[in-house]
Amino acid sequence: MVSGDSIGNRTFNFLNILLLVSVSLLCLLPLVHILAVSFSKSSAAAAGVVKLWPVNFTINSYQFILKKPEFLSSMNITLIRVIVGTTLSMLLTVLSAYPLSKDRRALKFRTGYAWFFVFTMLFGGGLIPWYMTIKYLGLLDSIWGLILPSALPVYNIILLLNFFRSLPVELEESALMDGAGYWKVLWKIFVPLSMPALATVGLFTIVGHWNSWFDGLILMNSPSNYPLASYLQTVIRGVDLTKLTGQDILTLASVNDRTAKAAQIFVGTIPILLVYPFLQKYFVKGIVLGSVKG
Amino acid sequence: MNRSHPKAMAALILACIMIVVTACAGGENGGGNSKAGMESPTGETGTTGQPDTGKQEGDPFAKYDPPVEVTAARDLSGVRFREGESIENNVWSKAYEEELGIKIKYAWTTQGDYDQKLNVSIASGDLPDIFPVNGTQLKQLVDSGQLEDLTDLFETYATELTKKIVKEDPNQLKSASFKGRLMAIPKVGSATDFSQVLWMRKDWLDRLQLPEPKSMDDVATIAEAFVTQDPDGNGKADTYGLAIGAGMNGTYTSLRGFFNGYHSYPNSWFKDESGKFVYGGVQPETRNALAKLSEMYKAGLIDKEFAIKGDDKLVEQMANDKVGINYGPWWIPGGPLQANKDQNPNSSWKAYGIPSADDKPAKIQLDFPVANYVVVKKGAKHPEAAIKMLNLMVKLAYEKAEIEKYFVPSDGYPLNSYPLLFASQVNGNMNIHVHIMQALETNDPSALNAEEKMYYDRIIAYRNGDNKMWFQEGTYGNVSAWPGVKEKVDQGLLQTPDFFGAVTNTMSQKGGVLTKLELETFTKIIMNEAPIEEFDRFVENWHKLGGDEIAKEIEEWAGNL
Amino acid sequence: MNRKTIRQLPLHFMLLPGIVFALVFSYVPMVGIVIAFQKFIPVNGLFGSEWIGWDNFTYAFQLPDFRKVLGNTVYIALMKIVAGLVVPVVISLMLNEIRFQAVKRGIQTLIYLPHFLSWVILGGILTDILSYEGIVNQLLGSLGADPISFLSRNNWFPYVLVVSDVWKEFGFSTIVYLAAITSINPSVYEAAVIDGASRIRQMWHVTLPGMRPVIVLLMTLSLGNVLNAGFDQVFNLYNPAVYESGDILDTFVFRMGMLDFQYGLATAIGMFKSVVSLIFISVSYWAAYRLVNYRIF
Repeated sequence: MVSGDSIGNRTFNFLNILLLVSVSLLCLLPLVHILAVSFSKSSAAAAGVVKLWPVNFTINSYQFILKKPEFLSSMNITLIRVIVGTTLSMLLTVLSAYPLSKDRRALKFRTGYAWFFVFTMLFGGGLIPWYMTIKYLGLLDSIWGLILPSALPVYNIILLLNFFRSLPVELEESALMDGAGYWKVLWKIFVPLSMPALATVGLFTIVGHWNSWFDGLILMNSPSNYPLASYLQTVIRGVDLTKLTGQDILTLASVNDRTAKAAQIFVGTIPILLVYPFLQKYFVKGIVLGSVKG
Repeated sequence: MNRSHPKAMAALILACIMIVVTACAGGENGGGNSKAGMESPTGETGTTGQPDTGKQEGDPFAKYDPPVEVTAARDLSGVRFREGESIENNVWSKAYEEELGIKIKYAWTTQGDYDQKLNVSIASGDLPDIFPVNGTQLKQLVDSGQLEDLTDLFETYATELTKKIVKEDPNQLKSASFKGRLMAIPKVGSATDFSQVLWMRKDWLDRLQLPEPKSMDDVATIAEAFVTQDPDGNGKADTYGLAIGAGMNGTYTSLRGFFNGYHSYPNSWFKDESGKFVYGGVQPETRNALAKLSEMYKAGLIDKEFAIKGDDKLVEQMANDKVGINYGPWWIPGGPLQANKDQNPNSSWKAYGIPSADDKPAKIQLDFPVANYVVVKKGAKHPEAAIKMLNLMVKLAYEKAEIEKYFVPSDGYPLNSYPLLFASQVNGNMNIHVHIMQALETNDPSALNAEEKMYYDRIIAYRNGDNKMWFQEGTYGNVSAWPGVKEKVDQGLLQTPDFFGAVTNTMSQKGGVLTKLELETFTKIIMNEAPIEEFDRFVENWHKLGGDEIAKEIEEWAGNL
Repeated sequence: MNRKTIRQLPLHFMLLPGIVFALVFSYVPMVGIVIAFQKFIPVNGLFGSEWIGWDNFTYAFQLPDFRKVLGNTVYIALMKIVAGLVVPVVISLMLNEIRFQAVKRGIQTLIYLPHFLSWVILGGILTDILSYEGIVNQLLGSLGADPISFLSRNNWFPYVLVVSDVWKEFGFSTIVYLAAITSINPSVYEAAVIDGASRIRQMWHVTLPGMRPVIVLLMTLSLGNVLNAGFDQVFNLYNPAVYESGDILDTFVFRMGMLDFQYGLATAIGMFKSVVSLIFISVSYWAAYRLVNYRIF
């Protein structure tokens, strides 16, 4: 009996969608609120009267941000970082996950390697040694300082190696028997079949680079070299009042302006939101999984 | 909920904008005459006869020729630059180069998180020539011998005017000295710039026909009226009495003024009548203040959820006609109160000094005005450059009074933030107020300097109907905090901390514990979750858990001054 | 034997870049963990700071409230781990049942959104929603219940932390689970349908087992976070009224060392957390291997 559109099924579908849509709306609302604040009059935002719709509509804060050179330059830096960094990371992730996905017979010391990597996820020396290492490598104040140190995401490697393991063994076995080397097997077989996993890991890497703000703050020698997230962080946290050497009251007001903060948050989040749906098309059901019989 | 930064520093900074021309009748001429009486005790030979060695003995303004380069680092929070300008390219960098032959090369700058960056830089062995530090970092650097001793250099190179300004409050210089040697240049400031006073909605008082508050009892009565009598006339019981925020010490709202009304001075170490150092938070007067607050909370005069409301929420309450009594800094009109005016043109806030709870007039509690020090790395090639830059700043501000060009221009850029070394005058802002009030009364702004004139014009604009300029009336006009503060100053009712050294050993070890205990206890008492007797238990614990040790360390520090 | 090693060489070479990176950027800085045993002052650097052995640790463990704080941390973290496991699994199962691709994609995108908002912003928003005047209490009021001050009551605060954190991060794990689901061989579903399985039974007998490896994996990895109750979140949401239940290891250490950036203390606590994580992950790894014959990595 094919499970058709029985009442039970229809109700299930309906409730399912209802619940999920409600949850999604809950997730959407804060962003809507921030959007509303960004388009509102400053004093209205300060007074907290803005909920989900702008009050005294104005595009002031957007004009304000887009005029700021720091915003655009930081966006630039982040874009470079994301593109170069993600490419490098994905490469390293794939190259490391494949050997680790094998068992001990196929690769000696496999478990040792695995723990070698996992250990780095757990232990660290803290901020100062990290900074000093980067400094001695000459990576301070350079975009490579933002890209290289985090190029090996062990968490992603573990995710990917698990996906590799879920692929049928026969695929690799038959390819190897046909004389293909490991390299070929990896790039011609495993990678194409792991699109969902790669898309997932890729997304996480992109997001990681996009959102990473602390390294920018500490490694860059000048705010003009901050990536977007670092720049946004300084905006959102407002002025560090302990370090000011002199400030006009008006400046204080404008720097702490909630609408300006909201606009910057929103603009900083948009690009990444546009990438995600684009990546979703890779979450397509297994492409050639059914091709191997037996 | 946002963490509020030590609002002490906030006021310090804001203070620094306001430069005042010293009513410099006896204005000393700071330039030029240097040799007389300023021989360097180390016996450095003069360089007369050799015009191009780049350093003339003891001349505070001698220009380096060829120009020298010094490295520096600093934080640029909130600093904005004109089109095409930057920290290394602006009127000040040009002034340093043209007048002094000094070119500052910034090794790094930050926008917040300065301390973190400084710490990692120091740990990796990178010290710039000149850079700002806080009290704790200063002590650490001094202890490890990384700083240049500036005692003699200061004597030799600082102009008379500079010395006068820096030494006006001797404690400020002392805080930068260790075993009698000057190891840093304090960022001299004005204590009154930390003034926190009582602010109230005068229009609500008028509407409910209440008299202006003269005592703490009045404050309580008015708070009750604000809660029960619908002062904003919107038919809803949605107004609070007294504003309090999380941690009780926010940027715009702090209970300090309230405590002061009960002769309590929380968060500060000072000498009692017997000359012993005591901590304000554990004094019996604090108990009285807490008891009153607890009473007010119980009576519904305080936001039941004040403990979770941070800066943003408090601003909302003030801007949205939800609260009419707020203890806050003198510069609060620039932020939340102006927002309130923008939302509600009828709103009218006024400052009421520090009413007292009994017949003894209350003192106003002020913070130690120096939070930052500029230090020079040991072995820097031109250590006196720092002092020269300070001289220049002093000269341009107090002697030449070139306010528009170098300090407070009419296009609003914070030029005040540009110079690396800066000194404010004691009571600078208060004096601005006094001058402006005089001009307003006589309708004659001719005696005002450029900065004062700018504020004066804004106040006139407000009085002619431009509500967007109300904040200037609120910061310097007749509803501002200054009349109340001036009264305290004139009557000597100032309470400044007697301890102004770096964090002591036990403070570092146990400070966190003591603060947590204090915050928790006070919050619980106010929220009526613990009886006032909890305070006594707190005091006992406080002494045992480290308070006494800290007191001992402070006595020791005082002895070593 | 030798031929086997030669055949494995390409695999070893593939690992080489990763090893180099790990060595340079993780193992070299790890040396700095000695700071945990020093009275570290930046100016004295790594080799000039005073060696004080276990003092940082004993100082921390002897601080009043340390045990309470540790307890809070574990309690909150465990709840987050469990909820952070159950919710995404359920949601991904539900999402998988949706036929309309557009709707499915839309929901997928939306649930990932909260991840991008920092706790600095969310703190303010949550205060708005959960205060006496906020929406939640208004709802409660309309249902006849008394208002609850969620953020200032010790018996509610930890749960606020857990629920809001799950809300913020469930989108992340859901993606991983969805990817896992799409990798399940369709022929297994076909077989189940032929056997007459209803949708629910398919979920139980096909989908869930297909997800099992990933579920076990994510659970194990998150167990490593048993002492990370979420500094950013707690820092932006807590206040003195809820220190008792909400103060976690990281916020506690932050405040203790706040006056003068106690790096030694911070590193010591970091090391403590690392050791605990290592123990948990090792145990889980071993348990997964022994009990379900599954190697997590």
